[in-house]
Amino acid sequence: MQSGTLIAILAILIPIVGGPFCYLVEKISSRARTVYAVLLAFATGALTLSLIPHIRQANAESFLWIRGLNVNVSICLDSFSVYVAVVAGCIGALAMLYSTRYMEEAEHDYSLSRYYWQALLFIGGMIGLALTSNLLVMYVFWEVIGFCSYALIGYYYHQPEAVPAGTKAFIVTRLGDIGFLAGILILWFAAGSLNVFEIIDAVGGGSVSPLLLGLAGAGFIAGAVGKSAQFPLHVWLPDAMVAPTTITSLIHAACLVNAGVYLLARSYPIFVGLGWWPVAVVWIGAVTAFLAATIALTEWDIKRVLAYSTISQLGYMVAAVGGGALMASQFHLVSHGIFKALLFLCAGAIIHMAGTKNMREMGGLGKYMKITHICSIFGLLSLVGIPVWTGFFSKDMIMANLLENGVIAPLVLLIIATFFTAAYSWRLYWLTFRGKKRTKVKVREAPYPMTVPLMVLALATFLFWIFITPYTGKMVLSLPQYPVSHINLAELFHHSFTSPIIWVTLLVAILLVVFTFRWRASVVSTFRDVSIVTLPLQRAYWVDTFYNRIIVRGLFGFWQRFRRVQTGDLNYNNVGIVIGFIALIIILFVWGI
Amino acid sequence: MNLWQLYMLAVIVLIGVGIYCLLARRNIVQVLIGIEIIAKGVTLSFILAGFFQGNEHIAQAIVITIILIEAITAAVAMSLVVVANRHTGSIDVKDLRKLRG
Repeated sequence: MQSGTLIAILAILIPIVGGPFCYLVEKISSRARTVYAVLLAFATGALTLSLIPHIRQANAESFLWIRGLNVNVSICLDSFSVYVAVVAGCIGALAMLYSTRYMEEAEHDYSLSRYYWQALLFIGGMIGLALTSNLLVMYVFWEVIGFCSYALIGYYYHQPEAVPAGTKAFIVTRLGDIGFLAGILILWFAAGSLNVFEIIDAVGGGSVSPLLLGLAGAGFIAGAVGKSAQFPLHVWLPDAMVAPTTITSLIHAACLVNAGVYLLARSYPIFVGLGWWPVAVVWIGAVTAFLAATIALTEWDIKRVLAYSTISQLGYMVAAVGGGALMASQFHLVSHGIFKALLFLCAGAIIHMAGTKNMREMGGLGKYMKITHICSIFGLLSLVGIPVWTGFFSKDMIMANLLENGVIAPLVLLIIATFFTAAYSWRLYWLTFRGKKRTKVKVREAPYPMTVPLMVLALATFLFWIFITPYTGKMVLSLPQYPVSHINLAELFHHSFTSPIIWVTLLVAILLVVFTFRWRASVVSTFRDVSIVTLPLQRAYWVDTFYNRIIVRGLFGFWQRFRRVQTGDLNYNNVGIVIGFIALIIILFVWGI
Repeated sequence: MNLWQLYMLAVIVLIGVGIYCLLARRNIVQVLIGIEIIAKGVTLSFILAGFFQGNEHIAQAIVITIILIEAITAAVAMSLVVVANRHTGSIDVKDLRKLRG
């Protein structure tokens, strides 16, 4: 076994196996348990970081899992997977450190061991999802992180909205997961393999029927749309904001929602020959980026603004994959993971100290929380895409690559979304940190375990672009089947500042200045009042209403007709089951023999 | 009658007894035992199928998995019986009719 593989397996197994022992360590003391969980998370983060020198061409080593079905657990250490794992491991470690103080008070009513082991299970699951090239193994981890998301959204289960939100997330992503599983099985049937790289070879050899490939491609899109909260399955992510903020920052901003984008990028060479597939992906991404950015303008809950912002940024990544800009999408994935985790943790510090999520009750907090204030500015500037924050380079790279690849119509949507991004970021900043203080609570700066992760992430979002040379260094080498290129620091600067997209950045910067000095009052008030323009935004385009009225109530109404079948008597029900079973056997006999 | 026919007969008898138990018994614990008997019959049929396919390994793996899942379902079901007993004060399925939709 090579050392890289060993590190990868350790990084997957340490959090997954070590997590449940939180319950045992809790017997010593609650403090020991917290220290234990944070240490595990930091060990995992260090292991993922130490994977970077081991990046190599994929398919290096695999282990037999199911002999008869020829299913292998293959560890894949190429540039895509390792960096997704690094984001999960490192942001996971910082979020765990932050939790030590943020979650302290929850211990009166809820079990913190449950919190820590589920968060650790999530970290391990995400790393496992990233580091394997076998689709079945990937699906197993896909479900693991789905379960963790569901369980942790419902963490505060005494709150009336928490459990329904978790259930909603579970059911909505389930729609996508079924598509993903169906896609995997179809590919297995059509290409005769579960390994991504073998499937790419089989598709390249032309031995796969286009019909089956198309069905599988649609299934993969469905899976990614569900997990990455793209339109029309984005409705679960804003409701998932009832989760603890650390979990929101880790799962619903930095890691889990990246799984869909990662899956699309990973399977890009399989489906790119289909023609309609990249077009569908790019449009889903662009429409999502635009719609979510507009909705974010009217939300009052600070976490929901950031949730719609996450959906919008994920739309950029999905559009980049569809437009063939794989490297840009993965670069933005890492960069977005850093700055969105930072923004959520800042929001968490504010919520923790001001005791409210409602931006109407905040205001003027910049004076009292200096570190959080500066870190938030870093995060927001990165989100808006101001040089030289990493968000500028990554978002710029996506749009410049789309321009080069001639994907013009979706690009226009993305550019408009960029202006909306600037508007909602500015609104969030102004309502929270500037103006008059509207809360009665005495606000002070958050304690060090909370501000240290903020400062680390703020530094990372400011400087991550410096590491572009090592980041893309092994890209071409490790991903021969993918359309990626090597780019070094000088080229990055050259591309970013000479592409026409720099004008968009300039306009955004001017817009921010105008907001600050001219339109301050009107930006805040415009989206407060109900008008013909703002009503669709305030109602989030009635997507939830549509689902409730048509699908949920429609299904209820339909199944109400079958109420009489439910006698409530176990024996009668069993008779029904047995009759159905016998009927099935008869049908199988008639058909089969 | 050779050996495999005997095995097949055993499978059919086990499943038949289990289904009869499900249909005719009103005691929840007995209904549960019926389910377990059916599961045993199904497990036996898996062993049989593996034997004839020449795939004893897979059959063994699947059977062990089934036994494990069975144990879990039995435990969960028994806990449900306990809850039902606390709720209705009996273990008669007729008393659970209030649960109808």
